[in-house]
Amino acid sequence: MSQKNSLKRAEARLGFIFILPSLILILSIIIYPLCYNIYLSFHKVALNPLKTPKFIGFSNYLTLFSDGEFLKSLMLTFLYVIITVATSTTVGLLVALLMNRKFKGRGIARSLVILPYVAPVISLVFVWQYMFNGIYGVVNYAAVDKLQLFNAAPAWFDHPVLSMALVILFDTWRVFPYSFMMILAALQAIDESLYEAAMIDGAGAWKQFWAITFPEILPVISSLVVLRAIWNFYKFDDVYLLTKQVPIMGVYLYQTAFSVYDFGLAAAITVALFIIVMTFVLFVRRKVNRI
Amino acid sequence: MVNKKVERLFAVIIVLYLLIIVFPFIWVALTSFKPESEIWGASALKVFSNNATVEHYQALIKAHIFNSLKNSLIISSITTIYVTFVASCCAYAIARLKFAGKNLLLAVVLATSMFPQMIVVGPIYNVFVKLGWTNSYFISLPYSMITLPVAIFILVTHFSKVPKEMEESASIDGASKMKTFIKIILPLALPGIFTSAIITFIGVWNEFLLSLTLNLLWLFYSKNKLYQA
Repeated sequence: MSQKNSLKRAEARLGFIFILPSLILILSIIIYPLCYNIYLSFHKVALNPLKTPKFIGFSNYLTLFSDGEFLKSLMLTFLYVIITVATSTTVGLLVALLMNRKFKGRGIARSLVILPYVAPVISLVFVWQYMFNGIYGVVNYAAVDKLQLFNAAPAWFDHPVLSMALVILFDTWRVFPYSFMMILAALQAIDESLYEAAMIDGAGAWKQFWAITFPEILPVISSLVVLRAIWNFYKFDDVYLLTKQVPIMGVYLYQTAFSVYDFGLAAAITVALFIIVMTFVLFVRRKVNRI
Repeated sequence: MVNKKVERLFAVIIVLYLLIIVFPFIWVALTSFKPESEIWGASALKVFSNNATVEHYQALIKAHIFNSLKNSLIISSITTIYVTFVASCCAYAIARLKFAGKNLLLAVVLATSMFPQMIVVGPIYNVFVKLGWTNSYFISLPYSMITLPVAIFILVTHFSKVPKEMEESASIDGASKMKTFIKIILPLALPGIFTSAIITFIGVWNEFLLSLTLNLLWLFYSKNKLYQA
């Protein structure tokens, strides 16, 4: 009995040693900055890092919520998140269904699909900026000169609505491969015999999808939607690089912190965003648990 | 008969679709061989240039692209190696060892995997300035925040798939938990370890926000180099 106990204790000690490095890393680069942000959000931070921040209470938060730019940016971010999550998940699902069938060259087709996801954002942005260039871009050439979809050449990077459309299009194109990979893996795990049984019962392709495929992949889709919503809520890099006309939250935050150098205000934004996202996550968890 | 038609339609959809996805890559590859005057000019829309040139590649070499690539490669490799090591240990503990607070730990890992670098970039920047770590390879430390939770998550799924019987027979033969981990779990979960290492490497290689803020000296990374151009 005592030997068993000591074995158990040895196992617990080994477990502790094994998790220690991860724990230190997570504490020092995620939890500590998070707490430091909360601390900073109540302070006026001087530009000089040697000066100690001055306590100013909720003043940063008051500035934030009375700033029209912040509220506008928040609305824009919600719009961006809702649309991109819907498009990237839908496209990912459609492509996964398409690629789940057997055809020649399927391996090559599948690896080509994930190309946008593995290439560095910044190089992709350059390609898009060149392709959507007002005068020399190949997109305007095709859309305006050949297909005559527009009367005048659209200014993709300067018009607020068009820029929004552009960043949404870019994000969809770039991240749908992630949804595609996850959904494809789930599709391949579905038991074939379910479809055989459905076929015997005379169910068509449409009915088979809603009765078998969709319920089977629903857990994957719901976790994809949650993760993508969180990631895109903080989206910064491709929007910041593509255009100056779409000040979504990540861009607004970056500009406050690193162009205006108001770290106190930036920390307040971070905390506010964090609370919004956590509320969203808890809300979704409860919904999912109920299902 | 009908089936054949459907198959053909299906093939056309796939080819069209792949073209749309891959088109930007093809277009930029073709453009890279065009002389400056044909990139911005009347003949910008010609598919193939008559005066193909490698001058842009020569300019890249002159602008010390190899130095930037070297830095990117070093940072990505360092991060991949230590993250994979640290994550393997943690994932094994979560997957196979019993100890108090395990579920709490897993919850923390899952929760942190949802935090994007945007949340912590300000404080990390402050710390880096204070320690004088900007423009250095120390940047691989904060990179573990975007890669470690994902790596742990992937490895836990792979370690849990290793059959328990293998481990039990090893322990009957007198192997310690440590030895079982190194001799049995690690080799059997090698594909999973590779997957997580590749995902870590790509994540670091492509990361932009941290390298933008923590490297005030441009010219440091290949990706910053591109931004500067």
